[in-house]
Amino acid sequence: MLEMLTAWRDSDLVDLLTHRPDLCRPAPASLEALATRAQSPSSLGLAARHCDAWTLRVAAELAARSDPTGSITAATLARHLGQPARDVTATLGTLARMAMAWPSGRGWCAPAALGIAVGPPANGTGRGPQPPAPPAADIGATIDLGAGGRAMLAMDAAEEVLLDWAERPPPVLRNGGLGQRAVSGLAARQNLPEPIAAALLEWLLAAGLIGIDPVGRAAWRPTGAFDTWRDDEHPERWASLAGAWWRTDRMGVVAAQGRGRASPLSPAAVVRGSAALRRALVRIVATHPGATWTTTSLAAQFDWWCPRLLPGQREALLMPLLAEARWLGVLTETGVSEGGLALLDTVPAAGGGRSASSPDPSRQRAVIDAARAMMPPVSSDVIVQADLTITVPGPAAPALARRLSEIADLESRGGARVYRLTERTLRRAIDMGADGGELEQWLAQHSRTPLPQALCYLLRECTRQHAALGGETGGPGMDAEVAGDRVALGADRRAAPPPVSTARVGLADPAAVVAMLRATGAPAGTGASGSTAAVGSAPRPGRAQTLPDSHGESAAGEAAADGAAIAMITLTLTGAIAAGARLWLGYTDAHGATAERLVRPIGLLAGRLSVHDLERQAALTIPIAHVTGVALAEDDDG
Amino acid sequence: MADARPADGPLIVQSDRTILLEVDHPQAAAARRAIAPFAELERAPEHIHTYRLSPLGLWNARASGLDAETVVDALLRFSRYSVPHALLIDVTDQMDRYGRLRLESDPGHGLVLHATDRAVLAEVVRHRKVAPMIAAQLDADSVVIHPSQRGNLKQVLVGLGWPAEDLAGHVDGQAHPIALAEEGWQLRDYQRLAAESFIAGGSGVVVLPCGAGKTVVGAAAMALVAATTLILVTTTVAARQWRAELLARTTLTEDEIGEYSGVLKQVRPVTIATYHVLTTRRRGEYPHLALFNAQDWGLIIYDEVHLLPAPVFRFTADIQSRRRLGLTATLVREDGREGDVFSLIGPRRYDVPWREMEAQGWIAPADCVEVRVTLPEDERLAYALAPSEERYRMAAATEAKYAIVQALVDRHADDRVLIIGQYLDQLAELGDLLAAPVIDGAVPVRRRQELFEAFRQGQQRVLIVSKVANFSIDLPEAAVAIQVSGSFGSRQEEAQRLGRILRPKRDGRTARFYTIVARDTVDVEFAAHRQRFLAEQGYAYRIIDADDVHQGRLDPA
Repeated sequence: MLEMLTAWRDSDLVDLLTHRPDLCRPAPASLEALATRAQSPSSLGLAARHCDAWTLRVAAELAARSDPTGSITAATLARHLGQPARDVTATLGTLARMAMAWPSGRGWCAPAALGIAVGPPANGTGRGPQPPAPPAADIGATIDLGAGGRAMLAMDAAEEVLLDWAERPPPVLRNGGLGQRAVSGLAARQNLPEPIAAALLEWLLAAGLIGIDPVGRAAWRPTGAFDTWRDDEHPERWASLAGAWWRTDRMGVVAAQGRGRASPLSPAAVVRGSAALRRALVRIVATHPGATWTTTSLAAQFDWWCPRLLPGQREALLMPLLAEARWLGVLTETGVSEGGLALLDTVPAAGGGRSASSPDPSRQRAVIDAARAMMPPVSSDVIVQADLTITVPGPAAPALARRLSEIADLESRGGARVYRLTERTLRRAIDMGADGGELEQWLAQHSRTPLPQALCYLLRECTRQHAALGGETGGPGMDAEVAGDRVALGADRRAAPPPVSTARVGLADPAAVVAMLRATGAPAGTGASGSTAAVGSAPRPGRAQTLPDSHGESAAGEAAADGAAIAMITLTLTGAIAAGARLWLGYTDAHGATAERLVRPIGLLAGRLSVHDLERQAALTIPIAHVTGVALAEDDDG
Repeated sequence: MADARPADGPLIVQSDRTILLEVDHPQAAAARRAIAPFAELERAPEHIHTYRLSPLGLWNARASGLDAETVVDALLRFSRYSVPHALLIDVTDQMDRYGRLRLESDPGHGLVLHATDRAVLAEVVRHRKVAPMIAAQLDADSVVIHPSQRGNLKQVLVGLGWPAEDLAGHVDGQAHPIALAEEGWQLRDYQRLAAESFIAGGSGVVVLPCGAGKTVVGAAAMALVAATTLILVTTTVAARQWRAELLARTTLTEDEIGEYSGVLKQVRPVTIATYHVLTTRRRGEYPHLALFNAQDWGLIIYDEVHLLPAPVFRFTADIQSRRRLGLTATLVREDGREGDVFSLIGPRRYDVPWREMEAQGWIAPADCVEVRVTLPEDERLAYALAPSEERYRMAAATEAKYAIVQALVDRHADDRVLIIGQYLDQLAELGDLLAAPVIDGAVPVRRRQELFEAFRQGQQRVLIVSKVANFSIDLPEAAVAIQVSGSFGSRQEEAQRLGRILRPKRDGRTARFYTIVARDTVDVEFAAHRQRFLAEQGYAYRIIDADDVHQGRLDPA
């Protein structure tokens, strides 16, 4: 074994450590140590979990027939297995790449413990080298159901869920999870199937987009990362959320089925190996494009591809996993979407192994590009009609959608978005600092058709009313609105993006371990172990949330830096709001220019700061991310 | 690989089961034809129309012979983006539910409920509401039903989501010769199609916009059935109007047509009764419902079926062996009992959207204008201090509106003008101001008819009407309607009011519908409902200021 490992190229070693990540935890001191660890029964047992049924059969046959001194040729094994020698040789190669066997002379050897890990060879005819063929899809199932569109809708749904929680953060249960009723309520409000809502929450947690805010009564809220995510276009959003889905061991279905009373988002909502199950699912579907998938046909595939993965539990998880993968747009009705294929590419092809490390930036880029390619183009214009609806006749660009949601209420979602404009929503927008004339101009620019006369009239009426009220010391209407905002603020402190830590808990990077091994051979030993952590480690309630490996290194670093600055700013703002103090506020406006205003902050909600501009006597709302600095104003006028 | 690029179709399917249709798309007309049979048109403003998929709509489509494959194909063919798979499956499932149960007439056993799916039959016969209606089990696939329960059973089955197809047929009723007298006029194509589709379907509803000549469709259906007919209408005035139409359009004579109302109780081969008299209660009973059995009716016509009152529904359940024709401009009922119309009157048999009729020149286009007036200072103060329940009245009946009404009447000096309002004292004051007659509930029917006739003839240019004039009165010469106050934005009422002026004008002019609204009051809120409704119906809608009226700026810029 050691001989084989020594002869390997670095890339072979990286592959091995990627597929058997337990081998670098802690980093082995030397290649000898690595070789020994690779032959231990427990490590071989873990490796066997990800082997397909045919590979396991060859391994069992090899373990039973090779004695420690001698080796056995592929041809002999093939005769015993009753399968072509070519297939057996190929599979022995796979086993070798996984350090579960090594070539010796003209034959092959197996670690002594392999037999314990894979069990005795099956009697009679076992699995062949080819997976069973699933039934082909019937005509009805080959209907085109673009995964791209669904991926886009999923991202919109995720955004709505996050906004929902920004407004009404649900409490954290004592077990560190979320009440089942909170999931049902969310699903009903957002018009999502309950299992999907439960699953989505787990992915949001894995992606670091929600976390526990320990201030006051502990509650679940969107994290600071949400603001960054929300500024992204759909493909970037998808890469981050689908990436979390791809890598996390958190399972929504467990919670939804109430199995073992695992609360959603709690540490118990983790099924070790479910990430591997997802990857196997995508690989299986990719292998059989155009197949119809039922519990039976899927189960038959898994029995061949990864018989040791979550045996017993597996079957119940398959259809829910299939449903969530389709909802997310990883799978189409009959195959794997472009985005799904890109995810598949983030894992090295050999073996069924699991990938513990985050994909390198170029692979991440590829996922984003694939997502963009499969998604329908976004629409940046609208159709305004006399019934005061604004329709985005296609997937809405995020910036457009956000602006529209400020001036109108979202009425219908799907392939398109329909917003309804009323006097109330317009007043809301104008009170928050929008300018009627500017709004009319903006709408006219984005509308494919001339604006209806009634709408322009309404805009002018609202502006007139606002001006009439604003003249008299802010006006009673204004004061009431402002007071309302304060009440809202008291109930919601999502404003201060909770100090959810974006510190990255390092997972051993196989490449780094190999470099270390190569460089020294000296005992690096226990030093490395401190900085590593188990995959998908569960969050601890009430404690700073760790961010699993869903972000690239640099992104995480930047997010951390931003987070710190925003935390400082929000701390000052929260204090000023509570005290009713005046501030000098620096921010970047919609045109990218910086501005400075003397303001009285009114509220912070969903990452947006509302202030009363004391010079212009007008309300103003800006995303917290656009705030460049704040300073308490000197109380110069007594 | 099936994951092809979405085609650039005119339809967008939403997750809430609405379907958006882009009107200016080159394929829009084809897409509309494809989806109209199974999706209800909900809104039709200028650029994007909204249709809705509902179980009733899908069953209606199934009843008219459409299959799920056609529906799915239409959605896929014209959709711009992918259609959610779950939605397609649901459509297929829903449509598949219709017709698994069939009501048939069996020579030996009378009325029989027959199932093509035993499991469904087993499920429904166990239901506590269905069980008492069953007389006997015939075999594994059929049960015998008490004949009197035909309507009730259908109603319950729709509620259970297993609508039964009613193939049990109708009694012929007592024959009575009726023919159309097409002298100086002709049945329009769509009217003929509507009547024929109804006869082919047996019983059911014909949906035609206001002004499309529903009475004539009724007459054509009567001619095809050629049997004694009971016609149910909303008001006495409407009853007289039906009578006049039938005399003019058919071979029926005065002696053959009876009126059954609060005033007269005639039962003749063709009898016109009001909903009001049928639902009059005496000692907890409805004595006049016996009219349904007073003759061996061959046809029962329900005018304005969306207004059908509950007791009439109950009685209709008992007369399911008679042919029933529902006439309406909308299947939407404010009380949500669309399911009862479906099960008791019948599925929709014919439907022409008003836009098509307008395009063909059968109804007049309409231009809606909202005029905003400002309350005078003293009224503003009084309004601000008034309790909320009085505010609408104060705002709606403000004197500030009078000057505008006067100005509008003057501006439209060559048109016949209808002024519509809710508050009688406001109407009376307007009557004095404009020297025009007021028609309210206190005016006797005969006097009303005289006034309407004078208006039609042009001797009376301005007419002021209260709520009573809302339904079923034909005033084809009204080119301008001015609404000064109105009950709270009900969709029904709005449609009816507009219906008054939608008859095509001889010179092809556009009808004008003014609404006068007090600015910065609750009146504006109701006006917003009205604006939404009218714009959804596809009417042009503008808002102008009182000053625009005084300065004569009434037309679009």
